[in-house]
Amino acid sequence: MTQDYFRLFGLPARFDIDAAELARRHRELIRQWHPDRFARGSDEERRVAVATSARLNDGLKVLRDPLERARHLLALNGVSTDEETDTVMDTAFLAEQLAWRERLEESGGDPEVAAALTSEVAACGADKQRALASALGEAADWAAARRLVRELQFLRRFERELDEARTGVS
Amino acid sequence: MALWQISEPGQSPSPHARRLAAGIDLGTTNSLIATVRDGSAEVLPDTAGRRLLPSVVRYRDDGSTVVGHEALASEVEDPLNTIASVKRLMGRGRAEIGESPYRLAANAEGTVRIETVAGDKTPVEVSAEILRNLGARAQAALGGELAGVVITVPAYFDEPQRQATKDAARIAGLTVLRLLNEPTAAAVAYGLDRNPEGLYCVYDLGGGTFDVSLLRLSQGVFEVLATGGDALLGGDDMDTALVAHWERQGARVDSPTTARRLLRAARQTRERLTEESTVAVEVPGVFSGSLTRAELARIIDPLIDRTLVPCARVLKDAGVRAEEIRDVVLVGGATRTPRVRERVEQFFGKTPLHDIDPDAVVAIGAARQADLLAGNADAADMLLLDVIPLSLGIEIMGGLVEKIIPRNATIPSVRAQEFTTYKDGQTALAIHVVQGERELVTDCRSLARFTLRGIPPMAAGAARIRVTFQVDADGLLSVTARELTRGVESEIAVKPSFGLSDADIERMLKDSIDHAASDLAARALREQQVEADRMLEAVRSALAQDAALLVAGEGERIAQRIQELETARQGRDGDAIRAAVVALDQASRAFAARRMDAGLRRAMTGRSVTEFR
Repeated sequence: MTQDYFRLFGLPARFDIDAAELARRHRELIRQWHPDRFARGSDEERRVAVATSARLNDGLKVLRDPLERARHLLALNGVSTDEETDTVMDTAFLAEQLAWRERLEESGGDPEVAAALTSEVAACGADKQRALASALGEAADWAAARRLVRELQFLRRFERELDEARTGVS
Repeated sequence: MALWQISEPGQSPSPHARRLAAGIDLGTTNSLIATVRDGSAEVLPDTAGRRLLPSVVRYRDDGSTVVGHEALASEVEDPLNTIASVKRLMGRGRAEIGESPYRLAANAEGTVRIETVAGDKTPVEVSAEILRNLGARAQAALGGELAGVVITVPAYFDEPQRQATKDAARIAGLTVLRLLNEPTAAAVAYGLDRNPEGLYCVYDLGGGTFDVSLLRLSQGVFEVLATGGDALLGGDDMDTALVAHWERQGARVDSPTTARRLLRAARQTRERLTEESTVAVEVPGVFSGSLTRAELARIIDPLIDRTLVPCARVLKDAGVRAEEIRDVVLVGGATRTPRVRERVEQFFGKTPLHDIDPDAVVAIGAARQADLLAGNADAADMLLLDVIPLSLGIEIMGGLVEKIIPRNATIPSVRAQEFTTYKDGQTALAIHVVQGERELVTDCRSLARFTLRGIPPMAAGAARIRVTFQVDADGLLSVTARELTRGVESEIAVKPSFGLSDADIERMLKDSIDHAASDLAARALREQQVEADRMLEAVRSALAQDAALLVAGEGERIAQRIQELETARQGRDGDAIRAAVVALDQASRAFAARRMDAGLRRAMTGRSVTEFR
């Protein structure tokens, strides 16, 4: 069973989220549940405090990040993104990926090429995230949402590589 | 006639009595203990008025130990039995340590032992000697037993290093309220005194370790955003580099004693160059020359460069630019070196703060936190949220690492991941837990291996095994595994890849007590009494607050167990007290869980109530 993090924070289970409200509730709850509050509590209280505050911290991490939040929403609706086991991707999407990577490789990791690619990838990611919001919203199109999450994960990995090429910091 | 107020040892204090608590900076080179008195934190000196305790332990052939200044003084004369910088050996396997000035041995698992005239000693036992010495200093100064301590560790310490530190405290007979990251402690020391909200960077270059942490202070919550560092880089390395420089100029190191003398001269030279621009160096019979501040800068610049790499990474991890940082705080004796300050200032573009003594700032922060955790300060005041410094993961096919909890995750943290079987009828799954950032298992630290057994035989890929990692507020990991399709939860025992087993610790505890010529039974009894008092207090206060949450008959059952524990508490049988504590814990467990649930629900009411199903 998947822990429902929207419920944990008392927020509606939807993709569009009020980030400031999430942060505020996390802060309020973690203040109350952190094990430091139970330094002199009973064994069970301390166990529960560690488990609860651990869930609050993980929940914040999941809900704050659009990609993880989408995955979580899908899981709550019984849809797994199967990113480890199912590697079949849309051909056109893969072709675009390949073309980007070739450009980066041919430039020998040139920071300028990396910067140009970064803005292209970011624009593509923004489009896909908008599509994801609508698939997870009124459309309730889980199949489309699942595909978009998987594609966004690809983009994210490539963005990280571009970032390393640009800044030289890994 | 004066009346003596008689107080039984171990009698629980009255509710308003202050509990004695202290913060300990267990450093590579020096250690300190501090406490909060009358609202202000102060370092506790020894009887000779010295605040720093050199982290040096000398073992003698009669089985006695000498700790601190006296041990440091015998370093040259007895180098193999005088153990310094033991922090660098904590939680490390033999293979990871490389060259060492001591005779190191290791058992089959790789746990390090230092051979001394008094027998083999683990780094944990050596650290325990230092902690015991500091604990005794505090108890003498404060006139009572310590209820608990906060011990600081480098933020970059991995799981085995944290566990080793906690084990050392246990052997020293100290109750650890929390392990606190050193930079976080430093931020507490600075932040509480001034309290401007914003981003802070703590640059901590100690004797043996380097740490950098980026923190956000906001509405009483100190939140670590990112942390990085190098657990094997510090001021000691500057001394080593300086000695290497002298060797190139003709100094000949022909014995451990000469090496120690040169290292000592290096440290003194470096310290004197803080005030002077040129100093003469004289090691009779070995080396004679001089050194300028500029020469020193050239020698140590490569080491400072190595500290700036983690600084850049931390900024990047947190998505922060250097100019957004409100202040940079310097911690650690090595930051007194003018060249270090210069380079840090260049890197961050602002003059770093160093108004609190860099040697004492960590202990002071730890003391404040200890005071708070012991229940002396208003707990609602401040909360510290630390992060895990290195990713935790497990080995998957092909010797690769699957990360389960990434570095810089706020702790406590939990994450579950599902795995499956790869053979038909497979009934067991071997799980190898590692820590580190690299993709190959061989490049990460091995933390533990265990086998999940009793998986019902199924076709390959049909079993669903959920492995859950939970990291507590001290950065310590527990792992559980469960097969989901049939609901089988198999018992797992995590065996540390190296490090100490519970039996090892028990034995050391016993050894240390034998040497201290104190009574093992009395000590064990005392521990159980403390535990009983904590449990009684916690359950009573829970009953007082939330009696409405009791179900039929539960209040009576708990009351019965409380009475039994009180009776056992009066006696001298530690095992009976322990059994009564366990019985009370079991009887009150469901009630405690219900209280926590109710608290969670209460916290979520308010304007969200209609949205919350």
